[in-house]
Amino acid sequence: MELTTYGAILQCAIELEQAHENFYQSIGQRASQFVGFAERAARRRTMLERGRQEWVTEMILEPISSLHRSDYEIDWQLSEKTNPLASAVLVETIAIRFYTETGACIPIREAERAFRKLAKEHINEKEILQSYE
Amino acid sequence: MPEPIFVQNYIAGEWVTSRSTQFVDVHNPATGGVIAHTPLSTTEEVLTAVSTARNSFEEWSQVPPYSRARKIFRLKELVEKNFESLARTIVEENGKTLDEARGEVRRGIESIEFAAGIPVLMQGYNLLDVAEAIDEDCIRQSVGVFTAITPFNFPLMIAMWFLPIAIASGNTFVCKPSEQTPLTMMKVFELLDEVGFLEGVVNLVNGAREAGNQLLQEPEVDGVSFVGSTPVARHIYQTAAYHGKRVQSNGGAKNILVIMPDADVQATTVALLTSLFGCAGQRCLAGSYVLTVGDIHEPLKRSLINAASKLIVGSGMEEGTQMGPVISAAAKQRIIEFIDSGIVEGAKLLLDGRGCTVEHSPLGYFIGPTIFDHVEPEMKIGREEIFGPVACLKNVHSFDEALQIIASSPFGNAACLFTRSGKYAREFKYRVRCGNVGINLGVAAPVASFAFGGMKTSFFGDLHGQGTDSLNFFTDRKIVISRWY
Repeated sequence: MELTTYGAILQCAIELEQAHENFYQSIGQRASQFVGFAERAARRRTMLERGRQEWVTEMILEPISSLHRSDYEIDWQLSEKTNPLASAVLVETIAIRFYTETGACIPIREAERAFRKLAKEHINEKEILQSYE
Repeated sequence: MPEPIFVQNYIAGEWVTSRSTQFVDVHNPATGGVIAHTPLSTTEEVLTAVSTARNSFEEWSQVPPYSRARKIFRLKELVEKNFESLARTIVEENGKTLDEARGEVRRGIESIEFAAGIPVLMQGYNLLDVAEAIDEDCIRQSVGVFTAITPFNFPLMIAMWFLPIAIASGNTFVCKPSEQTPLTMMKVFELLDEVGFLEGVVNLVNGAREAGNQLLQEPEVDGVSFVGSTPVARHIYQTAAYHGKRVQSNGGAKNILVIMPDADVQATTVALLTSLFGCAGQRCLAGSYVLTVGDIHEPLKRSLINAASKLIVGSGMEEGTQMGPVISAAAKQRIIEFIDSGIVEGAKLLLDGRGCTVEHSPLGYFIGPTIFDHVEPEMKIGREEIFGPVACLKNVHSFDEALQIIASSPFGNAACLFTRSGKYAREFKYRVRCGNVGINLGVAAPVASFAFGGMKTSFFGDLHGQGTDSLNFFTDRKIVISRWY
């Protein structure tokens, strides 16, 4: 599926953070250091839901092209079954790429800025995970 | 599919079922299915709404502005809380895309936010010693009962141009939304009910032409706000003014976009897509006539056809949809007749949206992006408002020729210029006689603190909606000159 609109990208981001939250909650049952990751994903999802309302700029709802949801898909079930830490690093790597690539295509500056910030947050998450290795 | 609902009126703080036996079906434009029935409210019901608004005016106008503002803040909170649900209702009854509906709700909220500033906005001014020991004050006061007759294309935003600022400044209000899209305002009135206004401050009556006409003639109504087509806007202005009311009546448009040879083709194409095909062309600020100056015509035309042919047309409820259906089967037929007339009159059809089909929505009112070239200003498609996703292109020799075409149009709602030249940009904004001018922007939509209105036959009246114009429309300025012995 192509991510052809502002709303489609925001929806994908919200679902991504929801999936992160579920993933970290699931692996957090086995290793408590992941609980904080789930909480932060939930906070980011709430921020994105609010942002979908607040950043939308009716005057410049311009079509978006060349972005595909499939480029950012993760096999969550497989990720949970394999090494949780390695999976979490992979999940964060994909999130960083998602926010970096899609943020650059959103024609709304406020959303673009927020996506850059979210990419940085996921870089931080990845660094924390790598410190556990 | 859920059973269609019967739309209700809201009068004197109560939901009321109309006693009318006549109804208009409300369709979901993406499916063609009936989702509601709008009552054509009776004369008595319209009268009751107006008289209840009149009865509550005095008490409401004496409520301190800070208290009124508090209600407006509460309304904003509730609209924010119900943002997504309101956006989806707009999509369901209007057909526009979810992003467009969200954009509409956001703009509606901005109008509410503007109105919340009423304790400052409503302040007057004064000057001491205008003559020997004489002082002069200007005070603003509320006027009375206002009504708004609003269109289908922005069921929430346009009502919000009027309602929040009218009631914030101490007036009472009767809203009559389009019979084609009554559900959004029903939801808004549920929120107004939750805010808890004094009974009769806000009222909702549903109906069509008869209800509107009655509001124009009702002696207890002090002012009328309207948005719609030019013939109706003229009728509203003439009738309401004849009956002694203040009127702001917004009519139709044929917005011209001028592309200079130095414009960035890629960026201009993207902006044109939004302007020409956003909201399926059903907006008073939609671009309709594209005048290319000199040799940019061919590259821009190619780029536009290429981009427009890739637009994803479908149900507005799908996040990836870039263009939704038009409002009704009748609108679709009318737009097709415009396209047919363009062919007959000799314009060259480059992209034909008439055969557009959408999977799983065989009965939806879809028309694909349509592009004509060689459209002359005398042709029907070159001079009349189409209100659909039809772009008319014409290559002109010079900037001045483009300005002449704009000047000869009876409409004056919006005009936009695409250029890298500051000189041409200034000339353009200085010389065009349109209420809304865009520079490198295809949808020149003023934000809530700026007036929104056209010129020539695109607007009848003098005070526009939004901004300080709306404040002046909804208040009286009284001058007090005093001398004390």
